[in-house]
Amino acid sequence: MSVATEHEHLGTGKSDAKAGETILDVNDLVVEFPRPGQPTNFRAVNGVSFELRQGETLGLVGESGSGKSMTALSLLGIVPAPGKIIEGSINLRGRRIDNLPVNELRKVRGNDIGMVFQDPMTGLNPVRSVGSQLIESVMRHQNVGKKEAVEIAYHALDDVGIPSPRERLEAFPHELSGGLRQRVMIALALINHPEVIIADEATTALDATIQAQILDLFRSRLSKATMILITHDMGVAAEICDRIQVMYAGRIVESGTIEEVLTSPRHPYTVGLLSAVPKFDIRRPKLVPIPGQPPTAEDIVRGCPFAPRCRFAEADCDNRPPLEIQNGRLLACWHPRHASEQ
Amino acid sequence: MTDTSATPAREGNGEFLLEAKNLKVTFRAPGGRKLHAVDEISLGVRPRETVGLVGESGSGKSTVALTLMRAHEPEGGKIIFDGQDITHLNYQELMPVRRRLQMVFQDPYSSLDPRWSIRRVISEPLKAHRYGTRQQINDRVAELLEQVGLPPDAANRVPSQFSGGQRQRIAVARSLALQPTALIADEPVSSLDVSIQAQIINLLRDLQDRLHIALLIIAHDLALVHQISDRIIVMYLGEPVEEGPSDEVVGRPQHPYTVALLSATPVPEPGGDRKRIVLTGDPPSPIYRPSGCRFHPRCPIAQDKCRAEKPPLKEIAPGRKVSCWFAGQMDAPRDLWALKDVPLPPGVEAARRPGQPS
Repeated sequence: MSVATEHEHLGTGKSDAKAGETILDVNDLVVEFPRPGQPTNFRAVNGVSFELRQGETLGLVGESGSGKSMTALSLLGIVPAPGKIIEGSINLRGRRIDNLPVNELRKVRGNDIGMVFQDPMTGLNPVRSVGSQLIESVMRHQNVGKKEAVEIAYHALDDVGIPSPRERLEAFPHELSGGLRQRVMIALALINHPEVIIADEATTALDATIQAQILDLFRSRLSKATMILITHDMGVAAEICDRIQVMYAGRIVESGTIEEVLTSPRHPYTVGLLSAVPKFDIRRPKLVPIPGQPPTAEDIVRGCPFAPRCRFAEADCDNRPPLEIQNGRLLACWHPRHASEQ
Repeated sequence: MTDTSATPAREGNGEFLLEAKNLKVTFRAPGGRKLHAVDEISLGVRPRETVGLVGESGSGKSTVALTLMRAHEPEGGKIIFDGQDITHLNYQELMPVRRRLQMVFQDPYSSLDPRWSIRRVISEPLKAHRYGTRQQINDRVAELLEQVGLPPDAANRVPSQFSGGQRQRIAVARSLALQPTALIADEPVSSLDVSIQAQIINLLRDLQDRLHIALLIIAHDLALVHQISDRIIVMYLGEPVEEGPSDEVVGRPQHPYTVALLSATPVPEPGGDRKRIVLTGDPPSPIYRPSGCRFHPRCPIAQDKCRAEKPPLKEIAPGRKVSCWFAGQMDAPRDLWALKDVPLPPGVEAARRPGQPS
């Protein structure tokens, strides 16, 4: 077990072949929510650090309450009140963005970071046409006139595979199917050529065949984008991510290339998640559930948050394991698994 | 098979505990048009068997469930439960049927009354069916809680004190209270986290093994349905398109829609350049259904015939049905994970991809 230095914390080393320079650098991010009637706050994000490099797609994978969405909202400066970023820093190309004033932050959203939300029905304004929403965004962030903005909006829809884009500019969100609405959301996120794209459960609400269409669009249109994909579905992450970070109870518990994490998961939680998913196996082995439930906002977590559900927990798990490099893999676990003992 | 001469009133062939025959359900859409939610579906669940009904949203799978429970009135067809035609029974006549045919709903947040104690939630069906004295009811509640893996003191708490997975256990306990012989579960795990889904799936499997109930599982997730079902029925736009033993449907899909659905399921395995059949467009509206085969506008192998003529649901082998003019002619992608590293039943291996090296 090697103790990592501050810098080693941030990378996995393995995906260097694809990764370029660091675009986004998140350091020890902590997001807290007050707990009504209790002296201590709830840490939705509890000391998260990672780097996002040019051209890579990073998956933040976890279940509900793991802090993955809250991490994304922090990047955009839209943590819902009364939640607050209380520690840590977020740097975009070396410029600190977590403490910017509101009007500066607005420029960051859209210009620098584009977001695709899970539910396009709430991400889009229901009483305004698709075109007017795209055009507004273009005119706010790019120095162009109305006529040019309309053309940019048209190309944006065309670009994400929306049939007859000219007519669709006039359409209202409710007139479009779920798949088309999600394409509009993606067009809106991309329209000002942001440096980073964040997709939060962008395909979760869609049917399987429509999800396949959107994943296909991600692969064809966004393969070179610098992107953070937030999902609860390891299968979706496997489709488009270069690197995965598994989150549990507000912390990153394992990080690595998609290959590493899926073929030789080391953290017992990652191992558990992968064995809990039904696979098309004709032998139909019984699913191995993870016993118990994740900690809720009411629970006070000491030590390793996964320990109460972990088969391999021992006395030392009462101390919080740091996220550090162990045998070339970034892990927060005192008793990591190896391929032979899973 | 049942001796029909002894009980002349018995409906059905006695093989199935729960059966739908040519079930048809329509709703009125705005403008007086008809919405064809379910069109001519027949299915049967044998005692102790698990049948999975798979489809995407709008395929009519939940309507089938609710119609079997007699929550929707079918426009045509028959529902037969344990040899009795229950299609037109009134409320009173349905009471004994409801005792033996129960349902678990998708969302354990809305299916449990938030102000009721768990004891009251689970004992409600017992009281409605005059199960016994208060003591007997309390004993039964305790027994049920144990069966679904909850502590006895759970009875005194309210739903908000439980997580989603625990609430679904409570919903399962309630559905088992009257010792049903058949259970319909509509998306029983889709609102739960992945690590919890497996708990509920295993619970349903265990309970079925122990209590010998017939189970109809309705879900959109083909991998999950395959995991627990003996047989699978795939629905598209209100109609069954493929039916057969689970391993057959997944290992040797015959309908292009089933192939596409299999190929669309994301796999937690590395290999980013996996080839995939991506269907174009969206499922059409059940109000304005396409002519001929309902799937033809999205089908990669559709021909003129498919646009003109609706294919019948044809039995291609015992218990194996497909409704496609060109059944089996769309190859599953070679690297489809369902077929990749998995040993297939004898006969399937050889037949699965004619003309392709394996």
